[in-house]
Amino acid sequence: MSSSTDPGQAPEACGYSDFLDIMRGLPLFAKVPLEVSKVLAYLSRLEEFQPGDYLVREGEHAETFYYITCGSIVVSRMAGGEPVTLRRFGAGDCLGGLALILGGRSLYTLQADTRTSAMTLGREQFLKTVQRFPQVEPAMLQSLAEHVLAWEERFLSRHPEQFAQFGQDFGLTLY
Amino acid sequence: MFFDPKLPDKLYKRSLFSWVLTSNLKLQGLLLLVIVVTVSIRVLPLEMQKKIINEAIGGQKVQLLLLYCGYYLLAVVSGSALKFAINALQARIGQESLADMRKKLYAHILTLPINFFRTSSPGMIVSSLVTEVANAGDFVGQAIAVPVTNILTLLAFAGYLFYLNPLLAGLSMVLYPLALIFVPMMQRRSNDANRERVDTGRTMSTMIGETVSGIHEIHANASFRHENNRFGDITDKQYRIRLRWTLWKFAIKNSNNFFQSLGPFVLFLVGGWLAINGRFDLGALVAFLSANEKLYDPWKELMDFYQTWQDAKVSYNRVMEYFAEDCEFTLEPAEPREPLSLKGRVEVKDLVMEAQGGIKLLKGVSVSVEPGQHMALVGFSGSGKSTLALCIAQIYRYSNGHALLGGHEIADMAKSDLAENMGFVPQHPFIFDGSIRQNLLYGVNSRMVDKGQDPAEFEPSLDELIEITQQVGLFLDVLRFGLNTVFRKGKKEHLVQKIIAIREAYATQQSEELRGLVEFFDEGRYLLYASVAENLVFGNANDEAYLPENLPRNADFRDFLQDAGLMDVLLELGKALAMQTVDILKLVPGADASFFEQTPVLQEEFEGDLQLAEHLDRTPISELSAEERDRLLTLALRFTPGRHALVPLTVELERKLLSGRALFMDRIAASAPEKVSFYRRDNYIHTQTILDNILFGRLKSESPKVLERVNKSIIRLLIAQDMLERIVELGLDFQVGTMGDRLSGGQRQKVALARAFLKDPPLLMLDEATAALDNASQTRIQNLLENRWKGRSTVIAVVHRLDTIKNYDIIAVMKAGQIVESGSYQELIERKGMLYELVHGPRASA
Repeated sequence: MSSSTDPGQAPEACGYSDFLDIMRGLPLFAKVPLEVSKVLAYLSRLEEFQPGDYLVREGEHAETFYYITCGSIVVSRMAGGEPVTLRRFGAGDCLGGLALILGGRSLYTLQADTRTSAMTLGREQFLKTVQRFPQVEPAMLQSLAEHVLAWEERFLSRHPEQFAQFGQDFGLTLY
Repeated sequence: MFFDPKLPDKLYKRSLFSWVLTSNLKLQGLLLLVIVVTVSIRVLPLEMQKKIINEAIGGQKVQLLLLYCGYYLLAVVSGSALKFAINALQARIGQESLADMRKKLYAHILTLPINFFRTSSPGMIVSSLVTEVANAGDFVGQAIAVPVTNILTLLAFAGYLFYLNPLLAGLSMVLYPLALIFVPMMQRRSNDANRERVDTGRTMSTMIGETVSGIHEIHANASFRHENNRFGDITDKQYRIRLRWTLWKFAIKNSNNFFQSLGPFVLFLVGGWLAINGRFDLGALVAFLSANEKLYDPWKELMDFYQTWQDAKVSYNRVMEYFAEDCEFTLEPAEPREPLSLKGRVEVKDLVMEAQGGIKLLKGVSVSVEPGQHMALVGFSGSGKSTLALCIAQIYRYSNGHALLGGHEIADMAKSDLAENMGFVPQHPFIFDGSIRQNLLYGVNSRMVDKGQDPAEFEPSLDELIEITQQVGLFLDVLRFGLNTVFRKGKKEHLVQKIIAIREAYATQQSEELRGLVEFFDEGRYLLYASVAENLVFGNANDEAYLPENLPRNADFRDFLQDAGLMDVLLELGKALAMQTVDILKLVPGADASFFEQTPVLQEEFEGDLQLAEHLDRTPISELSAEERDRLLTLALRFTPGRHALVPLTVELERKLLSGRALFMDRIAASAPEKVSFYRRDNYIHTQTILDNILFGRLKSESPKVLERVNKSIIRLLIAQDMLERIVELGLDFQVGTMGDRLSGGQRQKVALARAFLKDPPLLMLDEATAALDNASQTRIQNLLENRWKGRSTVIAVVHRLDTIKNYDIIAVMKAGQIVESGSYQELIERKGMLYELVHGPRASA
């Protein structure tokens, strides 16, 4: 997966067919028909980040979906004028599904920690594809809703005694 | 000059004929002399004709015949030569006067008040200066020579006719007075039409000028039909007027011919009768008829001249009427002297500026600024802040009150004095066609020209220019222009060598850092961000046939692919690309061009490839038609693995292509080395920019982030190699295009600021001079004003954005043509008046 141009090390592992495999394995795209996944995989690119490169900064528009193929990403958020590191993503993780669908402001800063490669899909490419296949959006919406439900269920079971005191801030799946 | 004609003091009051008096009178005199000689020579052939027939032929004397024929020939030859001399002299006089007229008119137009330019379009001024005055120039060249030649010729011939036979001569001329009555009548009609033609011609120029400047609006509104209709109306009107004008001109010409042709009719009748009765010899009749015919030419030329004169008069008077306005200011002091050197103290007292229609734009403004102080003029739009600035800059004339610079009334100051002491940056600065350097030096150079000195001698040094570009934030732009310079072969060889050296250093120092962003050229490595064709040729084609897009049709190249065993591999690759593209995109409804960015198939080719893919499914490559094989080869040669990820570049294919590259290099080196310049470390690529030559590789992405990083690393290197200044110098020679259209709005404003700063004037007038700049650049200029110019130059700035005014010494808030409050920022905010309201919004103060 390196970009080195030594003969015999061409990045053949990072082409269209790999992207298609990756996409087919992701819950977000699980319900997307094969002919659409093909187009989305085709429009995806491999991007490389040096340590310290920003994928997106807090407050900027989030416009890209990332699937990390190697390296690691640090997620942070400003609190009291200082960035607070929240978690780390590594190879096999993906992030930015909501950015594809919504395209809103990013709540977090994403920064490459080591040399990182990721399969990326831009919101522009995504939108122009799904506009041409009207059945895709309901399918993805369903995946998204399932994800939210699973997340709240997990949260409730992890913190059974605390959720009552969050009061109004909970019950996203009641929406 | 024989005499000094008295001319009116205003250019537009000069008559057309006055230009004849100011033309080159020595040449006019010489011309007259030549004409007199010519006329006398013109009569000679006629006399010879008579002598040849009567004496030589009649007396059967061969020797006399030869002698007279010799005289005849001599007269004709010298007549022609003299005629050419006359034309040449006329042209010289006419063109000289035209040039003189244009220069004077241009100088006059430059000084016309700004209001004049608000109401007249560039198209109109261009057509006046270029087309309409040309007629007047032609006239001046002819004004003395043509009438004098032709009247003299006419008189000479007429005299000769009377000498031959007074009766016949009188008869043949009886019709001329008729012409003298009718022709001027028709000419008046022609003049009327001509006047209308000039006016519609101007309307047309105005409209064309508008179309060109407003082309964005026209495209945005798709108002093509509307504009065509408008233009059509004007053109039709112009057509009708021109037709009328032309018809009158022809009518004049034809009635002339008519009167002319009636002459011989009378001659034949009477002369024939006289000859039959033996009262007139035949030779005399032939000579008489000949001479009578010769009358035609001078008469026709006189009539043509009459028309030229009339046309020129109409155009000339129209032009002069149009520009009949006076400059509002003195341009230069009455007595030549060094321009004043003033202190930057500005005092404005009860200043009133009244626009046309009695609207008061300034209603008694008073304010004063001490040398080195900075004043911001703020207020809502329409409050008069720009008007005040333009009055102080002597661009508008104020109607009442006083505005003083260094104690001198601005309205009475000579422009040259004010320009010496002021730098002015307008809201939409004008950038002239030429280089950045020429634009930066515009103010400084014109100051030197005014002082009668050679600007080249006093030009600021390169260091000063670089410093000023750094101060206004133009440095990086200029550097980028420099890096984008392309050297033609044989140009700046010493720089070329230096750049190759830098490339070497760059590759060794930066390769590690930039490996993720750039793919460096290396004979032994495959370029993932270049096409198969570029990888094989691995150099710059000097022959069209070796350009990547032409390779599939290049027979030599195809032979090479065959010999290198690459043809079949590439056809297989092409097949995979076509089939994969079709498989992915065949079901996408209405796929636009953006869907074809990641495949070598172009949008317009997709339809064809759909059918090809179907055929490929069922047919082995060997059985494909030549056309289909060509198509596959084209796709394969376009394949760029870094961008077209839909088919992988296998290790095996990469190896084959790399060895193919080596074979191709050997083959070209042996057969036609001039056709390709290979990417070798010691080869400068003359078709590419300096940046590309230093980079010596391909960027993996065009994103601004990547470009920024690459630029930074190159700048570091240029500094280290002591080459930064040389490249910036090249950048200063960047051609900015008409009206600076190759620069961005911000760059144009930075150039204008630098241009004013370079003059280092005691007074700087900035009329929203940073409006087109981004926040960072605006802050930079603000800091510059505070650190460098405060205490040194007076600054009066019209400011729209209030976040930049905190550090001005005086803030004058304007409303409806008056200053409603002034003081420091702190004072005014504490007072909670107008400024407070402007800064915090109207509700805050309530």
